[in-house]
Amino acid sequence: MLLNDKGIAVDDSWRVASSVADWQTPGDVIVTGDTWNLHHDALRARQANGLGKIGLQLSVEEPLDDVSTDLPHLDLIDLKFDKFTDGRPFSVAVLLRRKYAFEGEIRASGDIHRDQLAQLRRVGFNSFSLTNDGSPKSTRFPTSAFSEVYQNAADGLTSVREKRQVSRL
Amino acid sequence: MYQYDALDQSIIDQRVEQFKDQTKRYFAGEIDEEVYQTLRLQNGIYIQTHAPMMRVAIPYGVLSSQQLRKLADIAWQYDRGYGHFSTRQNIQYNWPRLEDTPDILAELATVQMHAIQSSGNCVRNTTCDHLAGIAVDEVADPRPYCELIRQWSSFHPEFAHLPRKFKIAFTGAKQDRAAIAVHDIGYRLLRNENHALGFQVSVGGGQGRTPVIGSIMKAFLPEQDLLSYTEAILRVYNLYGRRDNKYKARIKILVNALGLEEFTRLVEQEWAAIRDGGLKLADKEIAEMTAHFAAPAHSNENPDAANHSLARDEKTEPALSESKLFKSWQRRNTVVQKQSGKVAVYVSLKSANQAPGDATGAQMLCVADLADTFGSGEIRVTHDQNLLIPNVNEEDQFTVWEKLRASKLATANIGLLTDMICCPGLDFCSLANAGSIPIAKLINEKFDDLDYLHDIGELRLKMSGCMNACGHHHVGHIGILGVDKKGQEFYQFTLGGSAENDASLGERLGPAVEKTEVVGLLERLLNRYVDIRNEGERFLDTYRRVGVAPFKEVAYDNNSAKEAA
Repeated sequence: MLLNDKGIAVDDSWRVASSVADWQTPGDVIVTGDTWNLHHDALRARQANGLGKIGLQLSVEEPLDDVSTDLPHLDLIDLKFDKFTDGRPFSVAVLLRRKYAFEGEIRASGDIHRDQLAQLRRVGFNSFSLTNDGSPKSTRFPTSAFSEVYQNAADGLTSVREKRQVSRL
Repeated sequence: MYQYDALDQSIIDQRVEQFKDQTKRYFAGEIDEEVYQTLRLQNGIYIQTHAPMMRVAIPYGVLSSQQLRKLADIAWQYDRGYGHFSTRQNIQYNWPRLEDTPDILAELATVQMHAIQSSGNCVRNTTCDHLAGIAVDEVADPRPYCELIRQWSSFHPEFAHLPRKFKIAFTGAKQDRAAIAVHDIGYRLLRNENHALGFQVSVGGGQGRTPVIGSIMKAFLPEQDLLSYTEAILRVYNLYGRRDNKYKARIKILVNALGLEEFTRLVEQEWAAIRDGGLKLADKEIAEMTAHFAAPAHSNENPDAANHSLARDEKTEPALSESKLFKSWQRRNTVVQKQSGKVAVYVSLKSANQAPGDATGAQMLCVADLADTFGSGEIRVTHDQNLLIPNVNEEDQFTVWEKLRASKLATANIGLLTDMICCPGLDFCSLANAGSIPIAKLINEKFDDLDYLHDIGELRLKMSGCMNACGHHHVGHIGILGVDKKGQEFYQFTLGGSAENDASLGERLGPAVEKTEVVGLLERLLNRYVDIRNEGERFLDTYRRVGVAPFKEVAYDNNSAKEAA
């Protein structure tokens, strides 16, 4: 199930494409890092011909720096969690937003669970491919935990520190 | 001490509701076991050998009397009437029911307390010098910075799934009483040549299976940059720390693998990008936080306090000086403060009657009352698992002593052999290989002569029931490690560790011995020390002068040598 940044189930306009045959049909496609490296020129040409957007799926082992020059051409980065306890994608998302000023969609997929959505949202993820949603079934999940936050983050919420600064003036 | 404003209170109240909901969903079968485990750990709840264990946070070891009373209430209402103070200045309850834990959190929230991130692979409770704000050798009070780090780290969305736990400690004095050298990050507050405040930063210290003394990565970090630098370290750790092996996942492993230079380069690179952003602390912000920790009214700093403490014995009133017991308690269990006329009183939780670091609800109430009547309403938890009542008037010491005695809290052993750090061990902990509390009991039974203990002098004995070293055995002057040898409990001795400025890791004495041999071995070590010590030498000093050989010579008598073979 794909959730948008508000935690509401939506149709997925993207599809995963792993072979040249997969992306003959127009549409927005997500490819893995390996595919991107192997067929880089063909995919860029596909883009130039208006056949659809390109998204890149990175595993926890694939460094962001390796693809940093490609980021301006990508509309979506899908950070796939290997285990929900492996928190590397949280920092990758932070760097995507801040260091690389990535403004496209950052999606969380793989082993994530609904009690992580708020943290994911805060660091810059804005869509969630949730397979382990627990039960009972729902099409809506909270993507924020508390009404006040101690940290400034990619979600732009006013932090407790900032509120105190204002009241200090 | 820090007082919550409406924002802080709102957050912990919402946290209580969040965990209530998560626990409800867990019991309804809607959350996976593995997922709920991470959620409950970040609310301090373990599932242990006999029962759940709940670790309540005591931020940098500071408590109000009201909070201590609440901890007593919780011990009575939800547990077996006592609590255990830990080496990270927290309190642990050994017997709560899992279904009661949300209610316990709700109770705690009414007095500005919580169990946030006291466990889990996240930033844990920040600890500091138990003499913060009152120490004669203080450069500056580290507690405002501890509170700033506490807020920065609480619910930090990026760092909830680190490779492993993360522990930060602060000292603001010349003597390190916070063991910063064996923490993931150790911050030492100091002034630079322009008298500006900042931190010497040490990184990658730790104990456990691979003990390491931390490395100094930065000589002076300006105070304004505390949060950004910490964030840079955490980000590098989160990205590059090992995740393949739980026992090789702490930051000390990463620092060692990369080398300090490369590790520092990565941190400084990240830091350069964020240093001037929103994490920079404004001077007003630091000042406001510092004001929360101002000394109580009617306190004047006494520049002569250091000399004063030496002259103290002569100042004692004639009537009091007749009490030899009082005098020996005063010498070990009180500390002159930098505030004129004030002393801090240690509350020894190392009597022969209880497991080290345990306090009953009644004892907690006694301490809370004393803090209100004779102190400033504040209590500290030391990382040696004792309590401390600061800001007691000198003239009230005798009365305080009498009241502590009545509650069995006046064992005159602070810094002596029986002031042991001792982990819960096999009696409580599912990770343990051997019992530690029973050994503490045997040691207390054997060494019950206070005169003898005073003669031995300062001796930091630290004991762990397994290699995880929660009892800090690596940094004990004498360290004892419980091991499992063919299904039996055996004990390994180390000598010469220290958690202070001269931090060092203990050296293995020889083969592990079985339980019945421990006390005899210890006695032979102490006798040898008494034989060969020079004037004024502590055990640690003698060991450092002569090495392990003279001790190894006598440690193993025929029986223990045979068993150990």
